[in-house]
Amino acid sequence: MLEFRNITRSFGERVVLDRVSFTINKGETFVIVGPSGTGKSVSLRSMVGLLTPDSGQIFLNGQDLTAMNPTQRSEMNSHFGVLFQSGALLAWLTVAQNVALPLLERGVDEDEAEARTMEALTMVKLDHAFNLKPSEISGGMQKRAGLARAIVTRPEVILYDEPTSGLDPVMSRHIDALIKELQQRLGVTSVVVTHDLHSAFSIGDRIAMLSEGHIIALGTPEEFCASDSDIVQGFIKAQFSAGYIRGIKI
Amino acid sequence: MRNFEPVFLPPTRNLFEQAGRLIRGYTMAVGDALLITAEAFRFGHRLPHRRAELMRQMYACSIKSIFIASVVALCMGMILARQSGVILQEYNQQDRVGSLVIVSLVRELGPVMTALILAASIGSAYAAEVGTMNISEEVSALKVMNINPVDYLITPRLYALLFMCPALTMFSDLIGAFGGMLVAKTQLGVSPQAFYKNAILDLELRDVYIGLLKSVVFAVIIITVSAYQGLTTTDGAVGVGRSTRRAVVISFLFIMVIGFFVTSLFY
Repeated sequence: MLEFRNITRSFGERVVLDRVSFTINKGETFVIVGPSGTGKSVSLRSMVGLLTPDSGQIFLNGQDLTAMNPTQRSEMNSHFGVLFQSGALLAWLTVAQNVALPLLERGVDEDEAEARTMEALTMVKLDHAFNLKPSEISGGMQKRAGLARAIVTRPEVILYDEPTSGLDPVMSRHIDALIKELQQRLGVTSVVVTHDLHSAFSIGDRIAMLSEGHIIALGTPEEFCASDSDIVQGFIKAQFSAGYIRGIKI
Repeated sequence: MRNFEPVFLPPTRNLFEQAGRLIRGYTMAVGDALLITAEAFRFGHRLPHRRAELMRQMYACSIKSIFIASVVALCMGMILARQSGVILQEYNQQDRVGSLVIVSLVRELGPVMTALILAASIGSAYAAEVGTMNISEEVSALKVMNINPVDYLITPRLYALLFMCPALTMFSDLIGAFGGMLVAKTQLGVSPQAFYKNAILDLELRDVYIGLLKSVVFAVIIITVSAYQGLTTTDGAVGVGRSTRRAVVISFLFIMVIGFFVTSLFY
């Protein structure tokens, strides 16, 4: 469904993505993990055209996004919903206005937009806060509001950029549960970028690890844990002591 | 919908390369800034759709700036009357002070002072607000929602400033004239009737039009500079501070320089 083919992206002399290739299947939750600065967010931003790869191709449903002109590329963004790291809510709008914004901008009728907004807010359990401004709600609630905005347009693919960063463990697990629930209810394809392995193992159907511009491990959580890469094992051990995650011995 | 991605170039090898890169950088910045403004004008037809935001911005440009504009205009009128009045008194021409104060205000000082106030208060706020939105990914979120940030953020600000800068300029002219009249009456012994009569005799309608034209040009300068600075902000809080400072400094420079050329064009 979504394919990265030999994507390369540099910032100056620093190559962040070096001929990275992977395919994300329809309906799966694909998690990209790795330490900070390894190109996880660059991958995500390349998918929605916020960054242009130096070379390589990105395909969505067989269409080459990198070959499109800016107008066509922008229109393809209707297939995506994005939860940004900070929530990225507009400060002067209420939660409901923020969620309704993409619908109203697409010319959806106001009554329908209101109904769909409340439906999305109910899904993320934020219907009680519809009239509050972003500054009046917590960080976790802001992320849920951002998530409601990402799903309100009923996209095919939802991209999550560090959905649990800056949240306490309880709220992080709550967001994980929400991602899983939305994936099951809406049947969407999810791409999650995170450095939180708890989250990755909890929600991911497949996990890829980026390091120094390359994918060094890619597979199911079981396959990921069994990777013989020292970097992968070091990354796992840095976040977990010995034990089991989802029944996998580490 | 344009992305302002950071441009990375190899290190320069000599002074010529350095100078060339500097010129290229400034030329590209001016080009990008003008393209943003042109795009903002182009989205003018969507203003009815952005009524709420337009009103919010017009309120910020007018009501929130009116106090400082009034104080500056009042003082400017008073200083002008005082300074020129003393000299005119030596030639027993103090009755002409009204003409001098009002013509100076309408032609030059009113538009320039109002534009400088708006650049410092509104232009800096625009750069900081849009810059912070850029840093906190709100601009990216708009792009992903297929909302052009120029259409959503810059167009209402541009038109708000285009409407309110001339209005605030006219208001400043009136307040400045009032300040001048106060000084003329209390310190120079010129009656308000004589003050205004001389002013009306010397002031041409053309002066009012040119003053208003200047204020429109200055509004475009302020929005061009602050929008570009905001949309190209990088490097977190430090970057927001840098963009805000640049927005004010560059706007001031362009207001003074372009103000001179507009004056030269008509007088």
